Amino acid sequence: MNNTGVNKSSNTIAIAVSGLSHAYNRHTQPRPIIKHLDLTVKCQESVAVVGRSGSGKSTLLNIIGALEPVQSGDVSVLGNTLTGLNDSERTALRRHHIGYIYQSFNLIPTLNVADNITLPLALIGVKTSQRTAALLPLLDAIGLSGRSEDYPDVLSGGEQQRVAIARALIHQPALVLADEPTGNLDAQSGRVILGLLNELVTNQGSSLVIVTHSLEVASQANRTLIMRGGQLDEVDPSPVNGSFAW
Amino acid sequence: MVAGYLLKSSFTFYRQHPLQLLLSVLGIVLGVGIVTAVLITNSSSKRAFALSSEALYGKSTHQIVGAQGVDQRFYVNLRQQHSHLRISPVIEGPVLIGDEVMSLIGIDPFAEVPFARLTTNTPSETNWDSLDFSGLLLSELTAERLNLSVNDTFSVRTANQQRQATLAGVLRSDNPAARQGLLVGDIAMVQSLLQRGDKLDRIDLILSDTEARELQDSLPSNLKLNPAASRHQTMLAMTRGFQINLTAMSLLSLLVGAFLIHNTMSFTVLQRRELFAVKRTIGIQSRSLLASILGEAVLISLVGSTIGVLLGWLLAQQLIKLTTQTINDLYFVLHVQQVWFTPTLFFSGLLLGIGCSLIAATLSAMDAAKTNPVQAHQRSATEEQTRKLLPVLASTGVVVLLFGVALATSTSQSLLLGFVALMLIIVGYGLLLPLISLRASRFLKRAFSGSSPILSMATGSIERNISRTGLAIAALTIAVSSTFGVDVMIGSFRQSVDQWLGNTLQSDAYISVPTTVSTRTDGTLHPSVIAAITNNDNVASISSGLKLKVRTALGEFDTLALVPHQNQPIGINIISDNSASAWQAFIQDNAILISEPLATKYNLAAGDTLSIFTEIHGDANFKISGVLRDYASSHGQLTIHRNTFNQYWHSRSVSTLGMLYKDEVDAGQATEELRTQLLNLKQPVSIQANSEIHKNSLAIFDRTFEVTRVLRWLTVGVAFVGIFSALLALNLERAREFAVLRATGISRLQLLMLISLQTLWMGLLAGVLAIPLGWAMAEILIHVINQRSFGWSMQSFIPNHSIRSTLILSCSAALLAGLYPAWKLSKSKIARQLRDE
Repeated sequence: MNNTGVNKSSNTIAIAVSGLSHAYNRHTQPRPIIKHLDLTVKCQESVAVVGRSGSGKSTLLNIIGALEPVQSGDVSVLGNTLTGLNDSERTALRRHHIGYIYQSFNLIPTLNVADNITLPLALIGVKTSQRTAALLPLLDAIGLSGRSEDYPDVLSGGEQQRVAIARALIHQPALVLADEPTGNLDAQSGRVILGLLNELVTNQGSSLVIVTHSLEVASQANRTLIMRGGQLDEVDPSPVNGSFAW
Repeated sequence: MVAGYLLKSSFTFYRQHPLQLLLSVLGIVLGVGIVTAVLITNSSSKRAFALSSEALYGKSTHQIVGAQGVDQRFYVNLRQQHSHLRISPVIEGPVLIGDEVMSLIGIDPFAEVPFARLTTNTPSETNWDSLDFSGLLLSELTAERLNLSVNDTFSVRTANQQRQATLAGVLRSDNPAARQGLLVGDIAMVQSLLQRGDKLDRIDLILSDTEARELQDSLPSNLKLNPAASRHQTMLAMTRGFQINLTAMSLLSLLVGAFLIHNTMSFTVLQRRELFAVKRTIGIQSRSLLASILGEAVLISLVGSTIGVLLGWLLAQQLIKLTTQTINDLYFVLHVQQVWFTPTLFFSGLLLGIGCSLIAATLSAMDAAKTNPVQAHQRSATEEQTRKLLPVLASTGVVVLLFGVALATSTSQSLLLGFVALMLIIVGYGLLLPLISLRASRFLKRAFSGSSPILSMATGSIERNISRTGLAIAALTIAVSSTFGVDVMIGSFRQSVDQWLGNTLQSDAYISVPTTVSTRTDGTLHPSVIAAITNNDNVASISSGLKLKVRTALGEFDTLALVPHQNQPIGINIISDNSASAWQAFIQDNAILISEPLATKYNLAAGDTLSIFTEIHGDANFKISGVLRDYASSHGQLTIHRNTFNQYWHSRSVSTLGMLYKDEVDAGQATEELRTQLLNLKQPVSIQANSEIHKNSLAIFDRTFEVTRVLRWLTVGVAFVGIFSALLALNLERAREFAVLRATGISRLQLLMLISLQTLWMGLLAGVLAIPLGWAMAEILIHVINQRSFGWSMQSFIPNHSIRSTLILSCSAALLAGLYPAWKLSKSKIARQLRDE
């Protein structure tokens, strides 16, 4: 839906990052967090990024999601060079082609479940009847069929994250970015959520970049990258002992 | 120990939210500033009046007064018979130097010494010789202001003439502000200048009690011996209503200010509910939390009140000019415009600000202290709690409102009760507002469901955030309603005065002596002028009047001795039920008509009698036949038929003439011809068409309400700061939510629209809700506060523009207040907002 111009074929590149550097100013002293980082993610590919807290994983995700400006280097998302986009173009890119899932759910407290999920469709001008048609199967898929009128604050954490996943996927974006999607959930709920996310992303043929501390989560991705010293290294998560190595 | 941590925590919160701190302080600054300005202005005008009185009366303990002045021969006899008494003859009247009205007082320099009116001037600098025929003494400050030195000449204008005078010396005083606008001259010269013939205005005396008793017994029936203080008290009482009204207006501003302070404090508490919950979880007692929030309120209000008091002092410099003008227009000549800023006033302002802030913060502090550590983390719990509380608040509001209405409609004449009623109605209505806002928002949300997501979110968020939005809407409603109420009050008053002028000014044109003070007629018309009018072929009918002051058992009142047109009640607005019989008694049975303020203040009605001190028969009882509508004086006025007047007073003078032209005559042309004809006569006179008088009177009315208008706009300022503060807090609190929307794909423009739509709806709702409250406030101001202050009754009238301008004000205040946070949020970094908890 509204993915005109985006090729989801597995051979095309969804994300191309080259020589990316990023620093935060702390007491006027720049504190580099990402240093000359390179990354390529193909369409339909799922990539997990692991690393210690403060290593820059979320910053990288925000830069790819066009939420943080590119300070230095080149970042291309779905064929769009981010440095060349103005705010409106970045907003349009997010609106049409990116789905975002947060650790703390970030549902709109003033909208009910149905409105939260269909918000991205409303933003791209989809009619009410079509929005409802898209909503119902998704509600069914996330197991919240009878809860469409409820507001976020009466849902459990797991339910809220399921709503957040549905919201990120309802407009069938080419790229889904997930920042610690199971971080606030218990192990059992986390597994359910992860399964749901993978299933929906695979069905839609979207690319997925998932930032996590959990190697269990990371192991389900096509590739796992570790963020260390501001750079990414490919890693095999299976030999690492324990689920929460970071 | 704990207090230190809590204080540090509060300090950090405000350091992280500097704009909110600034706005909280600013709200208090403006609220306190307005009230203090009025307190200082009222106190300064009282002090100015005391100084003027001291300058005019000196050390006199008593005054001998007559029904129409005191014959000069009586003074000469008194001095001869009681040579040991300290007595001094006085003539007093207003004169113009340039455009400035001053009080001219004529005295006998030799008799004057014990009265200490002139003792502080420097004899060496005084040209006593010139005081005999053309010299006048002027206060040092006034001479400096007019750029006059001793022996300089200047022009003095009275009602009847203009004359050159010489500055014979300057009056100095320990207090430089004293004697401002006071001119002193020799009695003979002043008598001639004011055309008083051989009359004195009064004789000032310094008497012991025994001397006073003896003298009282020996006075003829047409003279009275009064304590000097009684005149001072009478004049003070004249301005009492005006000053109370001004205080009421300023307290209204403070009430709006207090509501906004409560609003601001509530927001800072609501924002920290989770923080308070954490503090409660780790074992901090609820009373410690309560104390810490009240401590914050004290500190903020201390800073705000101190700056507010200083702002009040600055505002008072301007307000004193406006109030002095009004006192000059409506009551008596008052020159001193100095602002007296005493420590008492400083601390009063400070205490008022801190007290109001503490009361306003107490509710929020109690709420914070009761924070449930578990529920505080759940925003839905807070909102649910609020939603459950709203019907309780609304029911309480209805009770308070009804109590206020009962108090307002009671028969009591107490101004204080009137003001309490006004407060109760405002508070009661304020308690109803959040529930009304919730219901209205639900309705709007349903109406717009399925429409644009921006519109749907904008309406939905008001309902979902009712704990915050309800407060902001209530604050805006009350602030806007006060401006609407004052607007309606001024509009109704103006409309009533306009109608009254239309009914009263029935003559085509009026002739009088040019006045020195806008609303007074000082002089009398020369017989040649009266003859010229009487013989004018264009004139069909003449009414004539003599304006004078008469002393009654209730005090001194302006009085009109009237010869009506063809003995008909043309231009006479009798409002008592018996208008026909009242008029008959007025023209045939020596009855008098009294003005409405006089009837209201002294509870007089048709059929009562009033004792008047007359020139010929001393104290005489007059039957009151009816009550007249009269907006010219709030002090009260008497109207007496000229035939009746002539039986009790000697004067045959006329101070004003009204003319009705013949039907075939063009009024404008006839007035112009008359103007040309009268130019050739000795006496300069003022000829005004009724439309001109109508226009000038309305201009004076507008000037009188200038102070109220200034206060109204200051209240709007207070309201705006409050609303800005509320919406800023409300929107910044939702920064994370807005960041999610931006991340999901809402553009900056859409976010601006979302926030603006939400604030616009809040503004519109507040504007609509403000109209009934404003109307109720206007009704109380018109029919209770004003009526009890001034004694005037009037019709309520909602000016056409008022509703429109109230809605515009409310929406634009809300929009403007929402614009900054909208702009700030649309510019803020999304990733950072998402990261921030």
